Amino acid sequence: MTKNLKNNTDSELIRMLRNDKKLSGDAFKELYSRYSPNIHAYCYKIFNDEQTAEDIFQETFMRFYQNVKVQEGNVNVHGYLITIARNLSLNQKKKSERIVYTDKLDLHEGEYNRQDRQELLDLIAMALELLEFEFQDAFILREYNGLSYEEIAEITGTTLNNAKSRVFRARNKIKQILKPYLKDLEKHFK
Amino acid sequence: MKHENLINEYFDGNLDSTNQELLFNELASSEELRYDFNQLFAMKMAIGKDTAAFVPAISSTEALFANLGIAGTTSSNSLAGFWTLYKAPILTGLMATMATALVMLWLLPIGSGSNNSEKSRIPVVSSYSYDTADLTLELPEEKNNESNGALIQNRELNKTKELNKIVSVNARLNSQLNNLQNQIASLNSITNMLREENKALELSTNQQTNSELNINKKTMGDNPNTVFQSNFVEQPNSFSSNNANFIINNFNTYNPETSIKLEAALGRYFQNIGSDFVERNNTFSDNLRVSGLYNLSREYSIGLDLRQENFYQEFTDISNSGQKLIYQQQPTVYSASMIFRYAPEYLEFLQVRPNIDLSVGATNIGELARIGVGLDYYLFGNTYFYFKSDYTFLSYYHKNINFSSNKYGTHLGIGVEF
Repeated sequence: MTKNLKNNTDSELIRMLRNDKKLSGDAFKELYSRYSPNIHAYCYKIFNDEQTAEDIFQETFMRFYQNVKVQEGNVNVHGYLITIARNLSLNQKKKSERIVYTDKLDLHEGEYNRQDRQELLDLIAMALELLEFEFQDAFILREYNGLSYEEIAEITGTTLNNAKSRVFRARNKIKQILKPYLKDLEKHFK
Repeated sequence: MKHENLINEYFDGNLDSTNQELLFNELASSEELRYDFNQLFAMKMAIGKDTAAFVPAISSTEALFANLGIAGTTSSNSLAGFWTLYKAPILTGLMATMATALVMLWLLPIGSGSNNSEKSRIPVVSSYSYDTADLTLELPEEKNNESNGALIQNRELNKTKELNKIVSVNARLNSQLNNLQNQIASLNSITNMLREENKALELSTNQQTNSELNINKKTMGDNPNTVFQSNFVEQPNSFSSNNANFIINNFNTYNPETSIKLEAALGRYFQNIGSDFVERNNTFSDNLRVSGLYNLSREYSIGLDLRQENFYQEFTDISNSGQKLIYQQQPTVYSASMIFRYAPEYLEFLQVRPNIDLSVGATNIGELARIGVGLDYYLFGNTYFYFKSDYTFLSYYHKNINFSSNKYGTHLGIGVEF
C-alpha cells in the first residue's frame, strides 16, 4: 500500500529514497507526482513530438533516480530534474535534424473559442521549434515551468541579464514568426 | 526602456508605477503597441491553459516505474488523478443539474399544481364498446346514449405500473353492468367526499407552505451583503502560469474532435388527448431524460438518449361478440433511442449553439422517431444549459394492427462536456 508522503519536504523524501528501503519507492512516487508535470511540459514543448518527449521525460526520471541514490547532500529537486531534462534534450537536438512543418496549420474562421486557443498553442509550438535552443529553453523554463530569471540563469549557466534577455527575445521572436498567422486571429485579441 | 521591454516587464509583474503609466500612455496612443500587447496577452493566456503539456502519458509513468522496479500506479491513483483533473467540471455539472431540476419543479405543474383537485385522479383506461352496425355514430354520443346499447366502462387504477397493461373488455360481462353501475354510483359518492377532504387538506398545506416562504424571504432579507461574482477574474498584471498546480486546477478538457457530452433534462409533453379522456398528471420521473453523445466533429455528434415518458394511445379492437372496442390509455414507458445531432457552427452566437436532433429508437410498447431543435448555452467552459423542443412519433401494434401516437415536448436541461 502506498504511504501518503504529501506532507514531507523534498529533503525528507530524498533521504527516504536513499536510506529507507521500504519507503524508497513511495518517496520517488511522491517526488514524481510533484515534478512530473513541469518536467513533462518542458520535454513536450522542447520537442513538440510526443514520442521523443516521452522518451526524454522517462530518461530524465530514470537518471534522477539512479544519480540521487548514490549522491550525498542536499538536492534542489526541481532544478536537478530540469538540468537533466535540459542536457538530454540538448543532446537529442544535436543528434536530430530539425524539420518544421508549417503547412499542417489550418486556421479556422469564426468566433473565438477553444479551438482557436488550441490553434494558437499549435502556432506557438511551431514557432518554438524555429528558435535556437537557448531561446527555446529560456522561454519554456519561464513560461511553462514558471522559473524565476535567477533560476533560469543558474540552470542555463548564464547571467541574470542574459537569462532575461533570452526570454524577452524569445517572446519577440515568437511574435514575429507568428505575425502572419496571428493576423487571422487578430480580431479575437480586441 | 524599449516599448517591447515595457510590455515584457509588465507581464512579468516587474514594472514599476512610473513605467506602468508610461506604458499605458503609449498603449493609448499607439495601435501597433496595442497589437503587440494583445498578442503577448493572448500567448500568455493560451500557454496558461495548455494543460496537455503537463500531463504525462499513463504508459510513460508505468514504463518508468517498471524500469525502476517500483510498484506502478494503482487504479486508485489513476482514479484519484482522474478526480483531480475532472472534479471541477463534474461538480459544476452536478450542481447545475440540481439547480435546473429545482427550477423545473418550480416552473412545471408536476404533481400538485393549479389542478390540485385532480391530484387524486389517475385516469387511465377507458374503453367503449358499441355494435359494429353503428360505426358511423360519433363516439361521445355513443358514450352517453345508453338507449343505443352503448356501454360505458371507466376504470381508475391506483397503481401506475398497471398503466402498461391493455385492459380487455369482455362483452359477455355486459349483463352484469347494471349491478356494477349501482356499485360505482355508491363508490362515486364516497370518492366525492374524499375529494372534498383532500381539497381542504391541500388548502391548509398551501397556507402552511406560504407562511414558510415568507419566513425564508425574511431570512434572505437579513443578509443584504450577499455578493455574486464570477469565480475567475483575469488580471493580466498578476497573471502567472508559474506552477503546474495552477494550470491543472483550471483544467479544461474540451476537445471538439473527441469530447463526450452528458446531458440531463426535465421536460413537459403536450399530447393530442381524446376529449373524453382525462390526461394524467405527470410525475417528476415521467419527465426525465438523460443522454450521452460523442462528438464526431465540431458539428456532428451521435449518442444514446434514455427517457421515462408517457404516451397517449388510442386503438380499436373487435370483441368476440362483434362489438367494436376503443381503448384509451396513457402508459408510462421507457425509451431508448439513437440520436444524431447537427450543430451548425455558422449559427453560433453569444455562446449559444443551435442544433437539431434526429433520433430513432424503441420503447417497451413500440418504435419511435423524434425530431428536435434546441439551443445550447455555454455557461462555463464545458457546461451548458439547453432548451429543446421535439416532436415524437410512436408506432405500436395491437393484434397485428398498426396504430400511432404523437406528441410535442419541451425540455430544459444541463450538459457537461468531457
